[in-house]
Amino acid sequence: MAEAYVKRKAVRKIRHRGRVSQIPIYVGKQLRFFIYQSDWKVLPMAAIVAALVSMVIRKDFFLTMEGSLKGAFALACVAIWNGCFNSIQSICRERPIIKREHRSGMHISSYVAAHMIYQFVLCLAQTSLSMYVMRMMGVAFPTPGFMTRWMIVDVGISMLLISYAADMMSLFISSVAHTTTAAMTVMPFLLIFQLVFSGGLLPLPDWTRPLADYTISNYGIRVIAAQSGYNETPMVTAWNTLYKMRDSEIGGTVTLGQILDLLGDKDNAFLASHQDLEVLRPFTVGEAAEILTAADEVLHFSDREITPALTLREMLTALLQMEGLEALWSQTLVPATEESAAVTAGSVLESLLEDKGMQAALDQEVSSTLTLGQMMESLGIGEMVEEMKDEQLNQAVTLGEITDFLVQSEALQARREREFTFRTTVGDLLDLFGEENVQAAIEQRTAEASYNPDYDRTVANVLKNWLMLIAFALAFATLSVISLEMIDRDKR
Amino acid sequence: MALLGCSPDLFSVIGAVAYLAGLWAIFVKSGLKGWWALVPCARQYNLGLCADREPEGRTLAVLDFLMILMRLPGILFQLDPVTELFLDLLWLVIGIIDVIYLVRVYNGLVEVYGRRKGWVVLWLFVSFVPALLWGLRKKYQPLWKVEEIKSDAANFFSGKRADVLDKGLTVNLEERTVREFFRKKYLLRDIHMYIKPGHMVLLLGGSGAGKTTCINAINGYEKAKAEVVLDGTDMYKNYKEMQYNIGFVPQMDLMRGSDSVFRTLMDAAKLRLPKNFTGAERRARVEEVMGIFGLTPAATHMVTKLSGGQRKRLSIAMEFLSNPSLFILDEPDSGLDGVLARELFEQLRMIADQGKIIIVITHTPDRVSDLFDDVIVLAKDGKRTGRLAYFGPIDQARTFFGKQSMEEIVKSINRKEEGGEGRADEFILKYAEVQHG
Repeated sequence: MAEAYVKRKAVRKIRHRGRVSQIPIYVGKQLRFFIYQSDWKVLPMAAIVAALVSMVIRKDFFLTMEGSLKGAFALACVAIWNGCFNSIQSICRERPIIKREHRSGMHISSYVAAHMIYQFVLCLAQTSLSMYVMRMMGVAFPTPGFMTRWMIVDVGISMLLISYAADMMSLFISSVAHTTTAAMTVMPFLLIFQLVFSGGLLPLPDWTRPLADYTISNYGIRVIAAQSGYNETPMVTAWNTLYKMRDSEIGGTVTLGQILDLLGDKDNAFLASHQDLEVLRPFTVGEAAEILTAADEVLHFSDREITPALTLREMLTALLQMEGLEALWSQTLVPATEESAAVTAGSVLESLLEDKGMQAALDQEVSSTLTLGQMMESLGIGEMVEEMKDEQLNQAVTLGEITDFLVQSEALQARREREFTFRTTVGDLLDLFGEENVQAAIEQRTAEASYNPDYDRTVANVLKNWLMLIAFALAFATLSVISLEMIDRDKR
Repeated sequence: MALLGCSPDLFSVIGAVAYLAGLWAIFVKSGLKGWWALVPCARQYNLGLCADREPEGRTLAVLDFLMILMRLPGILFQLDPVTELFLDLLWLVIGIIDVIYLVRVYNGLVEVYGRRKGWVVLWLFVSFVPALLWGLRKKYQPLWKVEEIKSDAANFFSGKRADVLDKGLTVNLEERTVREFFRKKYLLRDIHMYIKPGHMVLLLGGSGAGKTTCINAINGYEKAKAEVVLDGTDMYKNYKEMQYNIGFVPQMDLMRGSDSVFRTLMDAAKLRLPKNFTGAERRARVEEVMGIFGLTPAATHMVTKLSGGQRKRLSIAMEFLSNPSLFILDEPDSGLDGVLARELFEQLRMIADQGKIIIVITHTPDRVSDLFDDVIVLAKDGKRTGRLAYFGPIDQARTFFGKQSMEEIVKSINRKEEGGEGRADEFILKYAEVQHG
């Protein structure tokens, strides 16, 4: 054997294993490490983490905006966590061995490539396990999927890529760090950076937004949120909060002047931008009556007294001044004579009002109070409405017209000090406007306000984010090779 | 400050002036030019020199430079708040590191002046007080000075190149240097030797004498200004081809515990043996080497389960797979008892007898010195450069140094602070003169 070797050596041009053929050696070593050392522990850990996260996200993932975003953030965090822990110690723990083997002809690129293959398999196993556990825990993945036939596969691919990119990032840290302690010291900073600057749940100040472009979590959240249809689901937080406040009382006192000042404020951006908003559509008399009837059920204004009790004097005075009764009061009861003027019905009433003996009687209350409902009933308003129900009551009114009218009204301006007191409950208001109407309006408006083009459910968007994650993984792997190529410079 | 009748700014200026004056005096006491105290950054480096903490001083100088750099944009330009905040944050981070290094340097200074550690607190918070005290009072004197030691050996070189032959190892190392803070630092100089094939060579030297640097330079792993020729081939020029012809066994047993002995050797064989070896040939070679090193019974054992001696033999076997003609071992007997160490060296002797060159670093040479042919003695000269104090047959070494054992030889060249006799310069000069003729 030794002779054979010497002969081969005599040829001089001895070729040794190249980069590609060295890769299987190190893949084998990694697999043995997985079996015989502690690397296998990452699999049960991934399952436990997935189960814990499932408990939190299963209720509203894919159903609401908040659920989608929360789910995307949680899944991205799980994937990053798994990826980071897979490889953070994998190189630094055997750095002196790598140095020795590099000296004996090992190619750094082969070594890193072997890690890339092994870590990919590990991430794939972890992701599959995580998806299985999530399904088992009741996370409802809708069908069909977006990119594939199954949503669970779609999300799985994203989780795999996030996990793999994070894995390669940790591999790079591990290749730079000289000891496992150093690597484990850096890792919390990395994780915090990834979570804080993900741009997902925590709102970022404008100047820090560019930092989010350098985080794996950002692209991870984008792609999962896009897949879960973030922009197509309702936002329910505002409605849920309002609904929980059903029994809350709303009340207070404002002056008319305060309201007018608010409406007349030219700097109010909201009013300025909504000048042309049609706040009052044309109503028929019937529709207006329905609204008023519904409002009355809540505000009970038909029970309000609209007239105070009248004294005899007030009633007689009112009768004397009432339009249309002039003919009655001018009717002559006693014709005029030479000694006295004619006595009319009106003069009789006037003399009664001035009679000293009558003053006590005149100050007596002669009528009970009258409610708005009673008055309307007595006036036959209901019948009138029934007859005129199809007639158009008004033209469309814009917000600008209303505010201009109110602000310019001299009558209103003259009553600026007048106070209004109101008191009701949120539930009553919701009943007034219709609970379903309010819910639909709030969910739609808040969803519109929370629309994020980064989370658009388009093939291009999903592919773009997947590619970014792959680019991250490759960039970190390349950096690992570069940093490990300098391993010879380690202190001897 | 108010009691002293000074405004805070005036007090700061007085403090800074006092600090610089104190440093000036301290630098002079340590054998440096006093005016370095007035040069920002260089001041910190020189303080490090005074404290016998040169690397820390160097880092401090760089940190100071960076801190100035962080402040400059704010002074020169109107910065936007975000940039200003970012620079402030950087300044703060660098400042924290700066304080840590200052503590290290002050600690060194306290040791050099033989004072209590409590002084470090004063140095940190009211640095001008200890600076003035230590600088101006005669009572405070450094135990160690930066001045260059007068050394004849440091300036005398044999310059005699060893012959280059078709067989054996020729080393003509002019110098091995590193750049440290814009300064050229000599690690090794003037090492010339020829080692015959079949010779087993002992490499001796005190700590820091440059033994590891020397073997790294010999095997081409760390290039030096040198010519190293193995069996007629220049190793530096043909490193790619020659690296498989050199076996280097590191001090630590650097192997993966998750592999079995057989798997470890098989993987090593895949890396080290030529590509055209078939699987069967590789396996045969592995089994042959396991047989040579007595590892066959442990073939299926995991590396973590091996004894210290078995691990050491496995480590050597990995390098032996490619049948190298030059074998370098860094303390192969560390962690082994006398009997096991002896057995291991006897095995190495057997390998050398096959016509291979073996260079061994060991700290317990006397128990195995009879197995060696030659000895290389490295020592630090006055400028702390590794030099050849002796190379030749092991018996003549005893005569050359006038000592009976190898350990006595090492003791004679070690510095007095290290418990040695401090005669390194004497032997370096003697050997250089002998070589020079």
